[in-house]
Amino acid sequence: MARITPDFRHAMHWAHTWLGVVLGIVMFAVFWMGTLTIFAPEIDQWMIPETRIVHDERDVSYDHLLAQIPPEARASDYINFVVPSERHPAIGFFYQGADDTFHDNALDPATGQPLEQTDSLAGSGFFYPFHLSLMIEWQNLGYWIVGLAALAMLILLVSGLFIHRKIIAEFFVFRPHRKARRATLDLHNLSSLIGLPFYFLMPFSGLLIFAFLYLPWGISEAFDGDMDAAYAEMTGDYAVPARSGRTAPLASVDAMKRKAEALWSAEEGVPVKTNLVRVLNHGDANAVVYFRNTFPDDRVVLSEYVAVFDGPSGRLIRNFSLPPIGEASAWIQGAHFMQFGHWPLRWLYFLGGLGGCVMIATGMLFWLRSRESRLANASLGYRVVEALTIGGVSGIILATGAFLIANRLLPADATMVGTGRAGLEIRVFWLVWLGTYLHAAILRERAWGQQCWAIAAAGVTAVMLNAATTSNNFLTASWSGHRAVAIMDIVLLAGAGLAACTAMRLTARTDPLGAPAALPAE
Amino acid sequence: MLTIAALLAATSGCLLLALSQRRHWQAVTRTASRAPSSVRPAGWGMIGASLVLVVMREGTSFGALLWPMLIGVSALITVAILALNPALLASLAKLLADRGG
Amino acid sequence: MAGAIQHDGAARIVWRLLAGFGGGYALVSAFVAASGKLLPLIGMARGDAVSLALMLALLVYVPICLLMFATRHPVRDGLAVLAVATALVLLARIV
Repeated sequence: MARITPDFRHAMHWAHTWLGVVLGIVMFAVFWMGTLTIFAPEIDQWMIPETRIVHDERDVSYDHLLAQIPPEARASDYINFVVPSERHPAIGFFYQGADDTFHDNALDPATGQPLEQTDSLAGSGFFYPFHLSLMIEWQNLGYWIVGLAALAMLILLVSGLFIHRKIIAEFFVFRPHRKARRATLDLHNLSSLIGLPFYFLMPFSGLLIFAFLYLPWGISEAFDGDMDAAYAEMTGDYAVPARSGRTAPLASVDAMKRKAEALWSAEEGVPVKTNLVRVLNHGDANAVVYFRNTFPDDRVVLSEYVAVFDGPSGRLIRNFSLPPIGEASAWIQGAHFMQFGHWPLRWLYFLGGLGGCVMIATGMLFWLRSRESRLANASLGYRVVEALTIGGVSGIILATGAFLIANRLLPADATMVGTGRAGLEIRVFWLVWLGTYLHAAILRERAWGQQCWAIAAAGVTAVMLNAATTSNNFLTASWSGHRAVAIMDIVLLAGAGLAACTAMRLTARTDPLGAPAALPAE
Repeated sequence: MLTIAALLAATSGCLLLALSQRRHWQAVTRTASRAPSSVRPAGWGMIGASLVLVVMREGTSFGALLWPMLIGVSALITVAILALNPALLASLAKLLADRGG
Repeated sequence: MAGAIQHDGAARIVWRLLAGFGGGYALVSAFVAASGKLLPLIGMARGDAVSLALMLALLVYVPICLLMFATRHPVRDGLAVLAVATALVLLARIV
């Protein structure tokens, strides 16, 4: 193209290379954890076996549940129920305690009683927050790093298109039998192009989801500084008044819920169900009951409807639905969350996520390979990138496997220097991850193959431990309707197989007798 | 059913588009010829058909998410065949050459 | 002094990054604020105006970053980004 000068292409190459090297590991971690988060509910059920309930379609009575909550919850300003669904068969229940701490529980839908849960953060409590913020909570720094990585990914995708000279001519080209450098670049180009719409949508929608965090000044300035008004108008949030101090019994929450769903269904034209039931200022005259359809099952758009009722009287205070452009934004965000009921898409997202991991990993691998002959033994920078790449790619995957194994092995009441069981599982993750960096720093290229073998072993071990320590393994699970466990075990085994194949290819490549004989070129 | 049809349409579309490129045609047919000129429009036509089928089955909202991913899968299948065993497409190429040439 | 990025010294590269990522951020924030103030004047709901601006924000931010990487006149273009950002802030404040 006449307009793309060599200088422009070089500049794009420079940007692509530098952003890729500096932020590649962060992007891989975010993509990896995001891929896992797609199946967070299934991972939760695998790691917290007490929640392996087969979903019952019967409606839950929230009045009945509220009658059974503990006294501390009864006095709470903030009680939240998450309506059970097929992928979340237990009722989510959390409330703000007297000391401002949050108490998190899963309730058995049959009895309303809390399930005696294995103390584990599992998918929703670890993988998901890791994806959002790398578990770096201080001043939201983690969110900003992830946000920067998302922005960088968009820049990388666009710059990558400019660098790749023969996109059309080489669109379908993949030469796995060529030299490692060529094959790696081919795979990088291939994985990037095949999933390009998806890789563009994910960081874009991810940044949009946290728009209030990333562009607070812009939003508040548009609303003359009134952030509450911004939230109310754009998301349906309701600013709840403080407790009045006068007690008043709560009217029927179930009746309010039915009314909310009737209103929403009339507006939408199809049945709309609540996902969130929230009671604020419980027991007070200023009690408020708040319903939201956070994750509709049959639509991409998320969180379009909010209904707020006065607690004691059951009178509707506010019925919110997203305005048109807000709904477009919510569609994009819903496309990121992927909580709707569409299993083929869910599996495609999973493949897309893994493809993104391949794209990022091969990008970094290509950087290493193209400098290997020059710098491998001469440059500290090269060694640093090499160790970070290995630890950041195979290392984080291995650490994930270790996390799952620890979940199956740690006894229920495990504590160590004040850290509870859930915290200990996380410790195992961090320690193993750190270990892989050290392993990579010392053993360099050989670490790849060894860590891949370890991943394969971890996957198989996790599945065997599940069979040994719980009552459902993947053979019995599919029969008894515990689809989540079956999926998880099968994916673990498939992952183990893939890791083993990769390990074999990697160890063959570093074989001093040379690579397998090249086949006739394309 | 419609989804399978959409996947088949998308895959055949990608295969046709790939064959319409000189390098792949020559790898498949092991000759120095080129694909008939109708192959490329036919490929695009199949891609378009897959979009129609997806939207018919899923609606525009899910379709907008599903279709690009379906194309990705089709492209991946095409690349795999071309990389691992291009000869698989030899009979398809012969058919296209006979009909279009 | 004009020149492509691969020939730039560290200081000019730092300027490019600051102007691109930092200046771009300021510009985009101001863009959201200004849109949120201006679009309601032609009848759009304020919430929708801000939602629209937020969706467009990245389509502004990414090109600015690419510009600052690619430009052969980083000082000039970086200052232009900052100038536009300032103008948009003032616009948002005035309306």
